[in-house]
Amino acid sequence: MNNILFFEFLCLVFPMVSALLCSLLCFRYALSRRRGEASFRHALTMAFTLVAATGCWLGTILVHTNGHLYVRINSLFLLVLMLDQVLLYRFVFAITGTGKPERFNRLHFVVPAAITLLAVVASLLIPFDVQQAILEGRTADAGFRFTTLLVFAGYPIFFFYNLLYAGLGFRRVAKFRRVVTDYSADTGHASLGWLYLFMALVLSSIPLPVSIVLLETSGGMSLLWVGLTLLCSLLPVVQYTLITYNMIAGNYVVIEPEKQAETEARPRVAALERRRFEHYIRTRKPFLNPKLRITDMAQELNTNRTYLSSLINSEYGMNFSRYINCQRLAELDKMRLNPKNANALGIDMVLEAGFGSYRSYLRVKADEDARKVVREFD
Amino acid sequence: MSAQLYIQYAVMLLPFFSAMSCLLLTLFSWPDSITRKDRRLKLAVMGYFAATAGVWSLMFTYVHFPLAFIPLNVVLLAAYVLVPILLYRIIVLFTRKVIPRRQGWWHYAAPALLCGVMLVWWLATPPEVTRAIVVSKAGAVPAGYGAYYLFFTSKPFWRFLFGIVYFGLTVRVLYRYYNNATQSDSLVRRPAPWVIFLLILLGIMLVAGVVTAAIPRAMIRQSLWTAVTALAVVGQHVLLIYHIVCRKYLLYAAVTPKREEVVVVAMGRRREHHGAPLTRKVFEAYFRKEKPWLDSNFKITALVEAFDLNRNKIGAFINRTYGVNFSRYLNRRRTDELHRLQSLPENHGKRRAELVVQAGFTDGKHYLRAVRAEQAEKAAKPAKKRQRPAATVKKKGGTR
Repeated sequence: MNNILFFEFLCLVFPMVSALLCSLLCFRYALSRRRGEASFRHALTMAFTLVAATGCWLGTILVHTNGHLYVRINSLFLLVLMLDQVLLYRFVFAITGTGKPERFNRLHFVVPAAITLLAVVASLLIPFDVQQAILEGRTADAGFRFTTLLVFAGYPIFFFYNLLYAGLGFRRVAKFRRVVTDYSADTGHASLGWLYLFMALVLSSIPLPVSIVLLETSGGMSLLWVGLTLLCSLLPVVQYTLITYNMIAGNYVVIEPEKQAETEARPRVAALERRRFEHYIRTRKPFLNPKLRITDMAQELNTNRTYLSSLINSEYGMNFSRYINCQRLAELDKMRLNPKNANALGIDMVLEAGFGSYRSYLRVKADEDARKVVREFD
Repeated sequence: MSAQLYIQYAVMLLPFFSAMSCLLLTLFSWPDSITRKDRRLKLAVMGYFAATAGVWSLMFTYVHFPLAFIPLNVVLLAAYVLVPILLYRIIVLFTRKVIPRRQGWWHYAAPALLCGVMLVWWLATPPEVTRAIVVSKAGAVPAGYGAYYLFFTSKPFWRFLFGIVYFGLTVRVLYRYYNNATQSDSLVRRPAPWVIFLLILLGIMLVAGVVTAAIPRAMIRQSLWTAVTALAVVGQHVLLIYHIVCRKYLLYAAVTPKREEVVVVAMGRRREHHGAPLTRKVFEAYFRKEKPWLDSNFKITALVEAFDLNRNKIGAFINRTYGVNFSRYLNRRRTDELHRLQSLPENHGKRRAELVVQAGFTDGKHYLRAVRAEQAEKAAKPAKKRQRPAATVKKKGGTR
């Protein structure tokens, strides 16, 4: 048994199995949701993304182990390579909507379809044994440049698509984070830190396949090669499990579009002054709900979220999320002073005060403490 | 390397890869643990996945890298016997709410003793003896080391023994759990499908393990039973990790008894008979099946079609049978639903404001209104009761 080939094979099977397992979990989760719910669509999109990822790894395994079969399904391999990133971006697009009506551009699907069609036509025109010979390095004739491009198209497509869609994803999440602070006070779920990490992992895995191939061709099956190959295997596993977990656990907030009719029907209460607002906060304590959204409060105050958001911004100099978290911190301080809570656990009080978790409380506390320090120095 | 060989390798390592992926998933879920019980459960789950990963990676090492396996043989024995113990621990933690119990330290004493004996005996035996046994895949019995050979190659036997013992203990814990849970008010009659499936997979693994132990070790890789065991293990992993990540720790499902299904079918036939009498049994069976209280916009007019009676008759029936109007009856079911949701482990830590909507109330305001109405009624009842005794005494006097 060729140990090197075997090691490579194992490094390719691991992420494939992981993607397949995660896709099963996503399908299972989708089945447990109601058809019309957004979480059903999200789960299904993620499930298909992971199926495409499984296909990508299977194709890569075939490149190394069965050139005969690979050249016959090369076009399909290119399609799943592109769809993997497109579907992933589709998921990111769905969970990072800013409430404005927007549609996912069909061009994202048209381009892969067009490239696949071209590849199918080219593949049918070029004899499979020629393609196989090029794949296995049995010929380096300059006359087969186009065929070489077809056979090894996976590399540039992988590079280009991962880079493009990771970039699009970063941009989308950054825009979402600017908007969500004025919509939701669920700090833990709205931050989408895990999605940033995921895309950073995608970006960092881009140079790996090419580096491994370069090391192989330069004849160096060194410790570096072993390390890079292992990394190339482990990074996707971490990506798949990270995104699957956070999708199933619902660690995100979807900004729902404000219904036009409701906005127009509800009178714009110009007299929603600070006093009435503070009375509402003091008596109803909406901040105790860890999943509080600005639309919930707008409904109760008989106004719209734009007006409410601008009121908070202008009166308190902060966004909705920060305002609500400050109220929670104040509530927590009050609870700590209450003798009835002398024996209460810290985490229980934190949750009672409206924080989603102890972690989100710590994050908010650290932010506020940092702001105090900055103010003192100013 | 042929495709068949690749597939055999991949199948043999399938459980290792799935265990490592599930371990990562559990690790990611760790920061979202709400209680100490959550964390304890996840720790047990991680231990289980780590042990499973150990078993399959070491089995693979034994088949393909026998010399590398030699110093790890005790680890394989430990992993073999720990897997069923840790799975049992997970079930004990799942059932703790109904059967408060701790898993005693003695569960780990037997494996520790076994591994200790194996370690000492291995260290005391000349290395070439162990090498001969491992390299020949238990084909060679070194002269004078018969007892050592038997003990060294007995790992499948211990795996089976611990597997069957802890399978029995797991079934016993679940049996006691379902019996105890049935005695509470919530509708608990049978195990959740995923628990049954988990037990079936465990059973398959035990059977496959016995068969695998009987085949020559050199043939393990090619054996179909190895593939069956591997797939059963992966199935277990998927079931477990899904319920851990979704925090669906509930081991039971509410059941619709066959009697109710007959009543529901009969109800369908009654629709052909206009104005047939509505009974409490039929009414409640409909509610149990359709759960209309979950719809915050549900109106009495929807019952008109279901029971083929006009709304006045339905309203009068509810009033007569339950002493409240339709709206109050619906709100009572919603309140019961809220209490049920609050008791579910996956909802621990969730605010009531979120659960009231799931229970069918439009929002918290409607829920509070319903609660106040019930409280007002309860407060009014003692006043009515105080008036009655005087009337009753007069009546008795009158009768005499």
